Amino acid sequence: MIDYIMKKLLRYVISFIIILIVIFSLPRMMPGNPKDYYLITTVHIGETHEKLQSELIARLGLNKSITDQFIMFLVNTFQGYFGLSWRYYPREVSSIIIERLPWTFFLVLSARIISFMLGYLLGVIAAWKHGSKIDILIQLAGLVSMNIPPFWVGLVLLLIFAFYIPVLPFGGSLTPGFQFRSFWDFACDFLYHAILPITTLSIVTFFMDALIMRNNMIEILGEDFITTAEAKGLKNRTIMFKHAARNALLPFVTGAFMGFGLQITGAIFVETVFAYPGMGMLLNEAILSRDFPLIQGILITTTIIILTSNFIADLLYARLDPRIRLKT
Amino acid sequence: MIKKMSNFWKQFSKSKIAVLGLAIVIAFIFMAIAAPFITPYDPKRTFIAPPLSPPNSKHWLGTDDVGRDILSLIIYGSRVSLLVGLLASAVGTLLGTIIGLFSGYFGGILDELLMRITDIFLIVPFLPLAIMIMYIFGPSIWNVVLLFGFLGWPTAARQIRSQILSLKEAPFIEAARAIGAGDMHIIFKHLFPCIIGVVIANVIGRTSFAIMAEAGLAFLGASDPTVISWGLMMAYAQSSGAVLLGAWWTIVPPGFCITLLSCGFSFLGYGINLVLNPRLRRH
Repeated sequence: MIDYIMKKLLRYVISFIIILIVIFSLPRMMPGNPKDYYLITTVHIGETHEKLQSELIARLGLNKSITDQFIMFLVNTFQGYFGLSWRYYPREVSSIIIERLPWTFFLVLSARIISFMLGYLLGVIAAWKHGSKIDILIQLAGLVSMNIPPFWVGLVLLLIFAFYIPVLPFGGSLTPGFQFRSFWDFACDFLYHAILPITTLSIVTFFMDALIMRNNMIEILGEDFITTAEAKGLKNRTIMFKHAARNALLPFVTGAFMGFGLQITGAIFVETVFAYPGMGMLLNEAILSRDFPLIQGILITTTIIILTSNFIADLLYARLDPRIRLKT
Repeated sequence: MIKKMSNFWKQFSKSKIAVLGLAIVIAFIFMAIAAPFITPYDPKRTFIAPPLSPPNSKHWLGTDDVGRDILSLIIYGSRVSLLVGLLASAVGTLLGTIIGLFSGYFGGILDELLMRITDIFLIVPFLPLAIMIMYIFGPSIWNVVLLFGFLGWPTAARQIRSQILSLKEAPFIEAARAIGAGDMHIIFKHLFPCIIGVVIANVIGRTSFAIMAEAGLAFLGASDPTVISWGLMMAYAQSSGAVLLGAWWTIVPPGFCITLLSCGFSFLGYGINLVLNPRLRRH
């Protein structure tokens, strides 16, 4: 098992370094001097151009050789230094990202849990009633939900639940200027603002989760031990939940962790729609203000998150699957 | 050939979803081609009616925040989605097919290397990377096509490769080699015709992904701001606060069209796969 984990870990580390090489070389592939490119939108910051220029050149090491630059980039990245934001000058990119990260994590994690549980249930039902109207409907919904833009779902939900039936807020994460008297107050307000973003994020993925679960279930239902269970005269419910679903759960759990990365992408849109102050909205701000260091920092951060969640999925798989766990 | 086509149609038309997908795609293609003739107003002309006026008899879908006719914008928007969707998936599939053919046929170190590269491509967070590249190379619609094509080849390459791996052991390939056919001849004259169906299914199936991705980039403001697209329409709706004003006509139509067209290609791809893969039909 250690062998298996090390092999996976090595692959992820290599992937990460290659992605870093790509990120490093992209702006340097541009015609002209990369320094001009890095400086192109710094005029509005207010610092004198010359001073900023020399400072940036020194920071990025643009006056050094390309290998030195790369080593510097690597060292900076592993120390968590992504440069200074242009929009939030002179704040460091990493400190802004760290501030925003918990919000995104909260959204994505909640959506993942909801989507996971509903998908599990729906998938089992679909496989149970294999070929029935419900099954076909779930399959169709799975196919369609892959093609709905998450930002559209968000906007339509806002129209319904904030404009026509004004029960939920239009956006933000907390009521601005509101004095919280107790933690309870705070929690209520917090959840109240999170309902729509989480719902939007879950809607987009949970039919997909259901589809994965269904297909796993149907594969398992064709196995011999299910026939044995049926022959023993076990109840249908027992067979479904105790025999089939538990075995189908294995690829589903790892799939759910892989879906974490996908949902971070979804969160970029959802946060933009709901003005939710997470990393996705930060990325949107970065695009609109053409803040290159911030975009680069977010790209590296999301890459790390996705690689980590995939690695956790692999670890879980190894832990849950005795075929890998017991192999020395 | 005609017989083959009619056989294909017979299998294809058995699936209602596939026919529905085909109908949707054809309808949108017609809309895109006939755009100049069927649009009621010039989509670029602003203030032809008060901004954000709701749907009425003159403007069936109302107007947007600068008083452009939404129906006309929607009709012209289909051009961008179709163009980007089809071209991007064609570029990606072409690259993937060539790489998959060679890496599957020759195997060895080349194969190992290419598959590791696809592994990495499959892990990278697509959207942030796309945004960064668009930022560096400039947000033009052709860059979007090239970008999606370039980021999209690994999945196609894997599929083609696995097909080639099983095909290259077939007796007719051995026969071709026995009579002295060269590698290139075998690859392009014998192997390629066998996988052309998979290639077409791939282009169709990947189109919906490209359509969604383009809409997403446009919504975030990282795509070409000078070209009317459904994603851009929604970006304007979002930034002009259409939700706060309850201007549903600026929000619902573009998103609905993205979903519909993207579903159309998905269903079509599903139908083509169903015909090409008899194994799928049994389930």
